[in-house]
Amino acid sequence: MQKRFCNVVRVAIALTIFLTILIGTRAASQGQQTVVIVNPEANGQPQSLSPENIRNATPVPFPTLQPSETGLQQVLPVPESTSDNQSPVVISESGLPDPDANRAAATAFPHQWTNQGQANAERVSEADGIFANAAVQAEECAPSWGPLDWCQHPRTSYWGNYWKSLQTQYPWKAVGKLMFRDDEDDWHFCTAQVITGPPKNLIATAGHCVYYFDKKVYYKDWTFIPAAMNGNEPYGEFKFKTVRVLTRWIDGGNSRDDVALISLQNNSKGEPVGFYTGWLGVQLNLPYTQNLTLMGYSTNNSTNDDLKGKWTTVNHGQSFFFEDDTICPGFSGEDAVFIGSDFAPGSSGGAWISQLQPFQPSAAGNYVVSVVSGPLQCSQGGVVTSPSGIIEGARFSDANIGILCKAEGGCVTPLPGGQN
Amino acid sequence: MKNSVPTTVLLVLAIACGPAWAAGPVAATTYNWTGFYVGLNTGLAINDSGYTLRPTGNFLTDLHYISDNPLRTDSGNLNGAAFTIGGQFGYNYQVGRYVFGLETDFDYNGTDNSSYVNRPLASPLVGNIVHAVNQQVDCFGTLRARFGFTPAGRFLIYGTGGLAYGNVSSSSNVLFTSASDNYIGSSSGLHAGWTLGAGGEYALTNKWSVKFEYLYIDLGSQSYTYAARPPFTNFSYTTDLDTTQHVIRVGFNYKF
Repeated sequence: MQKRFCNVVRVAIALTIFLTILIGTRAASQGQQTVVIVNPEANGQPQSLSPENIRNATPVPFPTLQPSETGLQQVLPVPESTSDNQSPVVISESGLPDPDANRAAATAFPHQWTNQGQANAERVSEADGIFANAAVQAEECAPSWGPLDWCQHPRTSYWGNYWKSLQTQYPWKAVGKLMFRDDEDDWHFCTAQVITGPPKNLIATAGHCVYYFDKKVYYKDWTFIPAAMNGNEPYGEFKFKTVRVLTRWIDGGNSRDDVALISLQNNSKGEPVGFYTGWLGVQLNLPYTQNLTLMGYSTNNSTNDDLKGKWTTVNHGQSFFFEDDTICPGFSGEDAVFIGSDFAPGSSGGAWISQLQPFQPSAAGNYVVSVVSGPLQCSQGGVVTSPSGIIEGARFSDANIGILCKAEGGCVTPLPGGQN
Repeated sequence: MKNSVPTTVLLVLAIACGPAWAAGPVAATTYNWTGFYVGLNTGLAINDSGYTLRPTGNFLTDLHYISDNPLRTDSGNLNGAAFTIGGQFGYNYQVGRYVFGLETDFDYNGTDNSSYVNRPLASPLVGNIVHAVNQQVDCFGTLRARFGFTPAGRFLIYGTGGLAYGNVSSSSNVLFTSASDNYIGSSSGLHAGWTLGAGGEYALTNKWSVKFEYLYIDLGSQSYTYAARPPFTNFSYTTDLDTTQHVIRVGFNYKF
């Protein structure tokens, strides 16, 4: 009898300790707005990816709509105005690469620069010509077509860093391929872009390139290859130092939270990524309707399976928002923004750029205002529909990338000479 | 202070030689300084150098920076005393109580002085500027004319001046804490300037003499520019270094 009593007491004590730890851990996690993953080999010698890893990597799938208990996503109220509810804020100015960056890169990676021509010379089929430099015009909308038909949201589309004239030039070269492995060690890729120079060396990408919401697992071994083009790596590879994602993305999987920041180590030559590529700026709270440029390693760039996602595709279009939440029930609501685009998987995390300033001696403009999350998805009555030709992204604000930047101690690249 | 030194030297010479010049030539002393001589010297080299660190490169061309450049410009001194030892060779020619001569010398110089500053930047700049400047003078030499007067017996007082040269090495390290932009540079080379001084020499025997000498040495200015580490390589700093020293030394000469 006494022995049984002692066992009951032991179990009770153990249960109490377990519950205390569980509650404490939960409370601690609820207090954190971001989750950070630190590379245990942050100070180790970077190890290059094999050409096979890069060639055989598959694009990460777009996230799928996550039904809530009500059958819809966790929807935020639709903002009263899509244009002036908040003032745009530039939290990070863009910066040019070092003037000698390409010469230094050619010295550091001579094989990559010798092969640059060969990589470009690997011709695609004539059928791909339609993708190469085509202005995709909207079809004339029939009277019966609604606001979700892509004809309402025209865009132009052309190849980006396939062209040698763009691959190693700012701002295109600030965009690159983000490689990483899943829990089965298979390699996948997304798109990411440099948003700060040293010492932070941050790139922005989509949250679903860090945490696979559908399977509830983190990816691993993130490696950034700026200006990657069909296996060509003119600036080398940059291993991650830390990866930071919103807790809300992990908990909710909403596109408005689908953003992540990755800080990078220097490359094998000891140089920071921004030295070679420069960096794009970051702007928050931009009005929902804007003329924007999207860049991403979209896998619909070629009809040849071996060339899919091997270079960037560029889309120009005008972003928009649904003020009427009956048009696309279940969409994310505030801080989710849309644009007409034919982007396919691989473009995940690709920049939505405001005020693109191509071939300019100044880095002014070139603000990242969103990253590709996936196709617009609507959900009603448990049925998910995805209108073709419309891409969704997190409209950068204090509620998403602002939180990540704050957790990183800011996304500002310090200016030399103590300049404020 | 640097400008006052040559003036002081001239004043000393004027006081020392003035009465003699006023009195005019007198009978020759029993000791004659005419002849070649060679000798050794040793003493102290007192460093009285100064430097200015100033922003250059894009700091001067980017309108975002120009107005704040005075706030990131610093000056400082490099002071200290070092051991010096060397030798000299020369020729004296005595006319009455006046001695005219030409002397060259070459000395080891152990000058190795540094300056370190860590100060907050004034608004609107942020963070601190931290800089260290080092200067080394390995050796120096002179080629000087000497003009002397023998006030009594075997004693000679003289003024001297001419060319000075020396091997000066310098390194600078400027760091801004806000962006960790770091500017590191160095310079080393032979620099020429001028020297002016005065001394007294006493003939111990007909062959040996002992001397006490002061030299003010100005090895001129040297400037060197150095860029920051990437990605700030278009921004640079320049060190303007003025090398001046006071040399106080004693020596022995052997006349032959």
